[in-house]
Order: sequence, then C-alpha cells, then structure tokens
Amino acid sequence: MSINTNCCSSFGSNESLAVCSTDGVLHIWDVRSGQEKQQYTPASHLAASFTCLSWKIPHHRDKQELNNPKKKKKKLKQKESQEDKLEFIALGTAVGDILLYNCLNGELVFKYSGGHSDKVNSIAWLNESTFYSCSDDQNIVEWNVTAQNHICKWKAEKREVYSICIGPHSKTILSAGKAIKLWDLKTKELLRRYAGHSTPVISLSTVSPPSLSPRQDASVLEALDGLYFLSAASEDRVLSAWQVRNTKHKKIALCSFLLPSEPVTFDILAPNIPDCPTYLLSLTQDGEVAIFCHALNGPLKKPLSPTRTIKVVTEDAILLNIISATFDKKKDGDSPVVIVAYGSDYNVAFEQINLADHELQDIVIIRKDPTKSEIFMEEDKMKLREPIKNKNASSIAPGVPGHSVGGISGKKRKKLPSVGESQLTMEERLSALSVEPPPVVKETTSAPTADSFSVLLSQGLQSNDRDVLNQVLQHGNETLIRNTVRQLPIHYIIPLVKELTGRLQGSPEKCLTFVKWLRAVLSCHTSYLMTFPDVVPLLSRLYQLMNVRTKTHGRLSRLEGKLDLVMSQIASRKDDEEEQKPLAIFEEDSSDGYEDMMIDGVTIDHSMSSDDWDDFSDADNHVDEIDGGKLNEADEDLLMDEDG
Amino acid sequence: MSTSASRFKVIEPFPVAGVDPKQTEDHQYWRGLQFPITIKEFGAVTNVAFQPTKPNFFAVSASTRVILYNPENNESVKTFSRFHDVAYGATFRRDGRLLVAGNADAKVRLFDVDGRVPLRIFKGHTRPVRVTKFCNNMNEIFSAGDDNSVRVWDIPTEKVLHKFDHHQDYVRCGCVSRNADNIILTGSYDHTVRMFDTRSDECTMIVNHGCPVESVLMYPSGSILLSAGGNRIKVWDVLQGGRLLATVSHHHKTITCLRFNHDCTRILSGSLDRHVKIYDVATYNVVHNIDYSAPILSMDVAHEDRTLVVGMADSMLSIRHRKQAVIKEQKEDEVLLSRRKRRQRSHFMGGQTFVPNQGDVIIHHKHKEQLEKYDVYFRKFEHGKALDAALIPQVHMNTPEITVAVFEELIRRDTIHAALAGKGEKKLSVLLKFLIRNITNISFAPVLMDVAEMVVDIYSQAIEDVPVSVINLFQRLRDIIRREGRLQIEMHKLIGCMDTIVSSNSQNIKQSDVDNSTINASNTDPVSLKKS
Repeated sequence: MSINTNCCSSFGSNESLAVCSTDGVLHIWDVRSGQEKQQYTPASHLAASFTCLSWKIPHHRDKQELNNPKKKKKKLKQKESQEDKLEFIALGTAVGDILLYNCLNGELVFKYSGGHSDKVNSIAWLNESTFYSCSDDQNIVEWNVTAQNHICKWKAEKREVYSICIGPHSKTILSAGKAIKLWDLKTKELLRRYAGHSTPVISLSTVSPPSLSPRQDASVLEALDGLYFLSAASEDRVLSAWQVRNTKHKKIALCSFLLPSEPVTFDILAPNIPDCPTYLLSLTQDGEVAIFCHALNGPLKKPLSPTRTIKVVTEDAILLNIISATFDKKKDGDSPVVIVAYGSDYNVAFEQINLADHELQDIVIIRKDPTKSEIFMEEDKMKLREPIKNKNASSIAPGVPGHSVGGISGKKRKKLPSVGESQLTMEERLSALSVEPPPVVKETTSAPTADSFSVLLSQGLQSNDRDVLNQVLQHGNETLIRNTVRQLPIHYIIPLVKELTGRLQGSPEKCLTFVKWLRAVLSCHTSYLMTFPDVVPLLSRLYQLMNVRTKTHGRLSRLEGKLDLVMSQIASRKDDEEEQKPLAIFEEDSSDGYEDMMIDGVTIDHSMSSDDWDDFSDADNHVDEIDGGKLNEADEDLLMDEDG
Repeated sequence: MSTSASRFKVIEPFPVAGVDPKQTEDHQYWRGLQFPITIKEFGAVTNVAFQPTKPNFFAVSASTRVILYNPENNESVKTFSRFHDVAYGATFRRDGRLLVAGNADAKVRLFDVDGRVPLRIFKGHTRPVRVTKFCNNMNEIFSAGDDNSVRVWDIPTEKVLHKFDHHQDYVRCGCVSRNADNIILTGSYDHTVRMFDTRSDECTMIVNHGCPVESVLMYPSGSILLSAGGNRIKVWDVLQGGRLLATVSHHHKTITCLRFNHDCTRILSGSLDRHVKIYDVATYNVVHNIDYSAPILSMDVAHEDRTLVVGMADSMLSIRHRKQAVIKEQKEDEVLLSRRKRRQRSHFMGGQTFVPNQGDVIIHHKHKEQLEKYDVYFRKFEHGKALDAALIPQVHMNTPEITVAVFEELIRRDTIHAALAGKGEKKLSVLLKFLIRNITNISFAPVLMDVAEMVVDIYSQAIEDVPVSVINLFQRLRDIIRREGRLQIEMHKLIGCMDTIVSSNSQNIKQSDVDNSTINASNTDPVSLKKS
C-alpha cells in the first residue's frame, strides 16, 4: 500500500512542490532541480499535524493594498522584489488552526486560530487577502489575511465538510460534505445541491469552459451556467463530473471516470480553445497516475476508463510511490506535459512526461529509487578513523523498547563509582579482601528477546499452514529454537512433535535442523512429556524411524573412512603435481557452497536463509537433470553402438 | 514365438518405507476447482450470495453497491447502486426473484432482480443494518444490525411484525431455519447466539460462544447449529437445548464466514488468516485447505459445488469454477473425432463388433509380453547392460526404487562386481550422482551402501586413471556421508533423550508396559517398518 493516505501535497505554480509529511513537517521541493528548498517544522507538529495545504493564487500589482501597516512594509518589500513568484502557503492543522507560511524567507507569518474547533479539511484562496476553510466542525469560515481573524462563518452541513473550491469569477464557492453544495459568496445563500458521494470527498475542482464570459447584468447562477466541476472521494474508485445549470437542475453526476484504485489527488487541464478535450489526471492509492481525455459535453451512461496510465518502477520492477502529479500548465502545446513527483516524503524525485512522446497506453518509467541513497566511496578521498572505544563503555543502540536486539546488554548500572574506601559497604570490603574474583551478579530482570518465533509457529500448527511452518522450522539457530520452543504454548507441543516426525526424512541438512528442534522440545518440556499419557505411541514412530536410520552408522563410518583414504591419496598425488590448481577445479564443479565449507573442515552453519532452503535441493536436482540429459544422448549412442 | 514354460520374473520395485502422500477423495474433489479468476471490487467484499434458482447469478456486496455476476462468463450482469452508504448482506429469496440488502444508512432495501429501483424500503433501524435474510414463508424478511435489534418485516406493507431487543451488542450474522417457518437464529458480538420464535415473540434458546460471533449456520433439519467466532467453530445440539457437541479450531485468526456445501456433507469456513478450510460433518475434521491471498470476509458455494466465490478484505473477489464444464466440451470433441476416425478405419476394424455363436471355439489373441529394457538384459544375462539400462535418467530420476531393485538383483546374482567395473567417465558419474542423491534414503541405504563400498573398492585401485570430475563426485559422496554421520550421531543422542522420557513416563503409569514398548521399539527392523 502507498503512504499517500496521511500526507498531503500540492504543486505551486512557481515550480515547487509542497509536501506535508506524516510527522507534521512541511517540505518544499524545487521541481526543476529536484532539490529540497525548504523544510519547516512547526512548534506543535506532533500534536497537530497538517491536514491540508493550499498555495496562494498568483497576485498582480494592481490588487488591493494591505491595510496593516506593521506587516505591510515587510511584505510589500518582498512582493516588489519577487513580483511574479508566489510565496504563501496556508496550512490547516488537525486541531483547527491555520498557519500562513512564507516560502521565500521560510517563516511563519501568522497563526490563525479560533475559527474552527476541529480538523481543518480544506483551504481555498479567493484572492490576495481572503481565503476560506472548511472543517469537521461543520462550518465554512472566511478569513482575511491582514485582519488576522475570521470575518464570517456559516454552517454548511449537518456533518463534516470535507472539501471546498472557489468557483470562477470568485462569486461562488462549492462545498462537499454529505452532499455537494454551491453557495453564493456574497449572501451565503445555498444555490444548488448535488447528491455527492457516500464517502469523504477528498478533492473538488471546477473546469472552466472557455466560452464562459458572463454578461455584466447576469445573476450569479446565470454566470455559471454550463460550468462543470469534478469531485473525488476516498474509498470510491470513480471521479464524478457534475454540471451547474441555470435551469433544469440535475442532482446526479453527469459522468464518471473509473480509476484502477482509490484516488488521492486529481488535476485538470482545461482547454483554451473550445471543442478541445479536457485532460484529467488522477493519482491513485496504488501509486499510479491515470489520465483521461474527454470533452465534457453532457451526460454519459457508462463510466470512462483511463486513456493513459503512468507508473514509475525500479529496475527490479518494484513500484515506486508517486507522491503527487500535475499538468504543467505553463507549457503551451498540443499535448499536455505531466509532472510526476515520486519517492517518499523525504526524498522526492521529479519527472516530466510529455504524453505525445509515448505511444503506448501504459507508460512505465524505470527510475532509481530516490529513497535509496547512493554512497560513492572514493578511496583516496576517504579518511576513515575507528572511533576510540573504551573498554568500560557500552554501546547502546536505538531499538524498540522492550526488545533487545542481542549482544547489547544494559551493563551501565554496574559501573563502579570512584568513591573512597570509607563509603564502601561491608560486602564490598569483604569481597575486596577475598582473593577470588568477585562473583558475577546476575541481572535480575532481562529484557525479553525478539529472537523467537513462537507465535508464528503456534499459528502455523493451529492452521496447519505449510508455508508458515517451513518459514519457522528451517531455522537452525540453537538459541532461536530454544526460545521458540520454550515460549510455545503447552497444547502445541504434541502437534509440533507429530509435524517434525512427519518431516524427518530426506536430506541430512534438513533432518539435522529437525533433530535440533526435536531435542529442544524434549529438553524444554521433559517434565510435560513424562506425564503425558500417550507419549509411547507418540514417540514410537519417531523412535522406529531414527532406529532404522542409525542402524547403518557403523557401515557408514567405514565407508567414510574408505573415501577419506581415497581422497587423501588423490590429495597427495595432486601435491606432487604442481601444475594443477586444485582450488580452481573445486570451484568449477561444486554446485553449492556447502562442499566448499566441508572441504575446509569448517563446521557448517545450518542457519540458512529461507530462500536457500528450497533452492538447495532443487538446484542439486537441476544440475543433475542437465547432466542427465546430456548423458542420456550419449548413453543411447553407446547403447546403439553396442547393439549394433 | 517360443512359449516358455514359466514367465520371466521381472524386477519388482524396491519396497519403500514412508508415508504415502495423502490423496483422499476430498483432496481430489476440491482440487477440481480451477485456478481462481479475480475481480477488483470497489471496496471490501462483505457478502457473497448465490441465487438459488436457474441463472444462478451471485450477488456481491461491496462498498456502496450490490453487483450481480454471471458465473458462466464471470461478468457483471447488473449493479444495484441506489444506496446512500455502504451496502451489506445482499441475499436472494428462495425463488431467486427478489433480493434484499442492508445499508449503513440504517435502511433495508428490497429489489426485484430484474429491476433497478428498490421495490420496498424498510425504515426503522437506527444504526447500519448488517444482516438481511428472507424468511421461509416468502413474504417476510428479517434484518439485524448495529442497533442490537432483530426485526421481522412484512414485505407487502413495509411494517415491522416482530422486534427482538435481546442482544446486548452488534448483531453481525443470522439465518432462518429451512424447515420451520418461524425460527430465526442470530449471532452477536455479545458472544451469544439466540434463537427467536416469531410465534411467541421470545428468545427460545441462548448459547454462549465465548467470542464475538461472526457467523452462524443451521442444518436444514434444524437439529444442529454451528457458530463461528474468534478462531473456533462450535457445534451445538438444538434438540438437547443447546448442548455443546464439539469445538473445532483449525484457524489462527478470526473466522468470518461459514457455509455448507451443496448437500450439507461438508462445512467450509473462511478466516482472516487467508485460508478456507473444509470439514467433514461426520467427524468435524479438516479434509481440505484452500489458500487465498488476502483476509477472507465472505464466501459462498454454488449449486452442486460448481463455483466457489470468496470475497476478500483487499476488495478482491475470487471465483473458482469446477473443471466439469471443460471436460464435457472435450468429451464432445472426442466423440466427434472418434466418429470420424471410426469411419476411416471401418474396414480395418471390421471384426470388432463380431459376436461369437454358441459352440464356437474362441482363441484369444496373445499379446506379446512387453519387458522393460533392464529385464530384457537380465534375461540375456548381460548384467552390465542391465545396470546401464537402469541408470538412464527416465528410470533413475522417476523411479529410483527400480534402480535399487536392479542393484539388489545384481547382488543376489553375485554379478555386481562385474557390472560395476569398467565404467566410462560418464556412466560412472551418473552412478555416483545416483548414490549421492539416494544414499541418505532410509529404505535404500543398506543396498546403496554396499554398492558405494564396491565402487570405491573397484575404482580406488586405479585412482590415477579416474578423471577429475569423477573425483569431485567422490568428494561430494564423502561429504554427504560425513553429514549423514553427524546426523546419525545427533539422532543417537535424541534416542537417548527419548529413552529417558519414555521409561520415566512408563514408570509413572505402569511397569509392565514399559518393557514391552521399549523392547518393541528397539527391536524394529526395516522390514517391520515397511509393513507399518
């Protein structure tokens, strides 16, 4: 699953991306360079994480002047210097505050509070100085940037208001809660009401048709006649398109766009010329971008499927998470350009995709994972120095509380203070007098260790799940086995013994692991098994099996001795013949790592990884099969020769 | 062709000890389900129900819709989307013409399967309605949900006939008795299963399951009911007033759905641990297990077990069909083909349908006995070639017991030495690989150990001539034997442990039993094991 659910992100029109990460930090990235420009952590970031953000719309010089003289000077200066860049982001928090953040100098301008009593769901800018916000507390609030307080507030829904959007001409506002509603901004009057979605609407946006040029005397509704708007709801795999009609009002959606999974955000590229199709892109929870191309002109019965999809994958075919996607609105061309931001909250990479460059319907971009940082080490530039480690010092690694990773013990407490003789206790004095080294005091309470599979094993035994059992029983680490068996509930012991008995056939490596498990069971639960009434029938099969197998032990040892002798002969012969390189030959023919280890006489480490487990036997067979195939041909030839 | 006095005694496969893979009828039957077809739904699939009558569509409740699918082509036939919130528990009436579904907006909607608009909307619940089922008499429905109440509605008038407020928590499952018109069974998160009688407006039976109840099921006879909750299924005897008959626990997570197969001889349970387990109703033992990719929320079985539909939490719907349909088509094809063939071959096979008269002397055509290649060589006493024939990949890979039997026969005839000697590099490496692979097999070990010893004896005398690849194989053989040796040492230790436990256990119970069992256990030999 993607992590898109908790963070919000938005592209500003000056080619920067603002991302609110899950830990309540605002990151601003430059799209062109792919660098992080700013990072802002509010004081209350853990208590009240950001729930929404909105870039201030681009402003013009002839807009109204600000009134507050104190702030004005500072702001005006910046505005004059950076005229066509926008610099403010309004951020809504989970406790109902709205923060106004200046992107240029990276400072918090003001914190608006008191307007909402619950989570702020959406913010929309009307113009330079006014913005609106909606919240879980059922209200829509109008704010003034300079007045630093809310101007007006009205109850829009009986339940939460999820999303708002300013209509064209800045005279209306759309709100989405249980239903989607169109309000007159001046009178706060409800103009239209639409059926809406059954789940929270995450995004709402208008599509301004190019022909929309209202007469001066037109009423608010007349001015909006024919306006389309789109809505996306969480847990709903469709985007719905609605239309504002002056007459013949329809409550239901005109058409819908079917997505491969739930939407996260969407963006619209409305055409400048009439009769051109509207482009629509939507980022989905699966981390995939779906693009639709459709001219909105009336109702459609069937939902539309995406015309294009974009995915970003690594070379290992791992799907990378797309954080945000938008159309590049500055580019004027026949085909739209999509900007895609992928990676994680902390490492974002950008990609511009011109749809005309790709012919296929599904665009898959293969990129490196930006979250996996590459470290190039250059030998001559590197100076590595081992940190000087005091023998008395103990290293403490961060970890999950209550789970020690092993190897690290909390010995800190035992550090002896350098106190005078007079402050020593009687015990210490006595121990100092005695010649013997002081007895090692055991830790009274040891933290529980994480190296145990008992839960997984009991689940596997309960449901007799082969995969889970394989996963657990392949481990040959003694401490792990002991911990697991010790923590296993008592009623799973008999099923475990039966399971292990069933498995005790086949290659010696596997069996050795199972024998270890059996010994651990027998030693940890001796007393239980002694009192278990049916222990004889339980163990008799196991007993027989092992008795048969160990019967050959004497002959096996003899055979081993013989082979050893032969091998030593060969070895001595090879020592004589210097030109042969035995190492190279061994590598050539050994099909797995095992033999190499055995040749050196090193004890085998049986704790294999899970993959090795299955592969080992297969690989062996496979090699044999290949050889066998070749031999088969050769053999047949031979046989034929002999027959002939 | 010469008629020999006695048949040549062919090589019998070497007897193998060990467990034969479980191939019960149930495994074969349930394995007949084909590879699943998966469909992505709009949300978690909370309920699946088959239409009891002919088109046998199935209704899938997911997100804010109820979708009808056709099992023939796995495509959606119709979508009921007139829900204002998440739809739950869509089920069909017995005649398959009406469909009822609950909703998170606390209303119950009744649809005609052919229509689109709800025919009836039952208002009265105050919280989401999770269970909706038709009663036996066709014109009543019952519904239950998160407001803890169970209601029985009259379809024609949209009115509540009965209301039961006995449950203390959410009601998440329910069913009606198939043979009694007025018995309703519901299971709730307050851990109880209650049986209601509409005649008396009272709760006639309560059983406590011990966990929040997720699913209940009642036999058509109404004598036994099953409840599932937590990771166990409990079986209750209704006729004895709710006596607990059995507790079955084969899942490790919450069981979410229970279903009968078509003739109520098997029970299927789906769980959040991603398994569907199938139980025999006679013993309540698991007879088969089917794995899925995600936690299972709902499940249903079609008529004659033709289709198994499973709804999962990651909004996937999995459909498995039985193979029957395909086989039928093939058969039809075969019939056509064979007819054509018969026509062509008719004049060759003229005598096939001839019926002999009474008194005719019938002489059967003698089929020539087909001997395996190694048998042929054995018959000719060409032992080296017989060994080669037993070591071709088809034989030694697929049926190692034949190869071992050939070795044994060679030992019996005392010609093994000659047969093993003088092999070329390739044949020798095949032989050694066979030994490496099978020498650790308990059944083959005694024979193969002899063979290995002989091979070493033969070839160690002229070790200088042995090529490097074969020497490496010797090395591998040595390694595997060394590992086996280590294992056997470990096993000896384990046997020691077991001896202690068994003896002390037996002392606790009975002295006489001890001796017998240990003697029996220690006196076992491979032959007795094979028999067991």
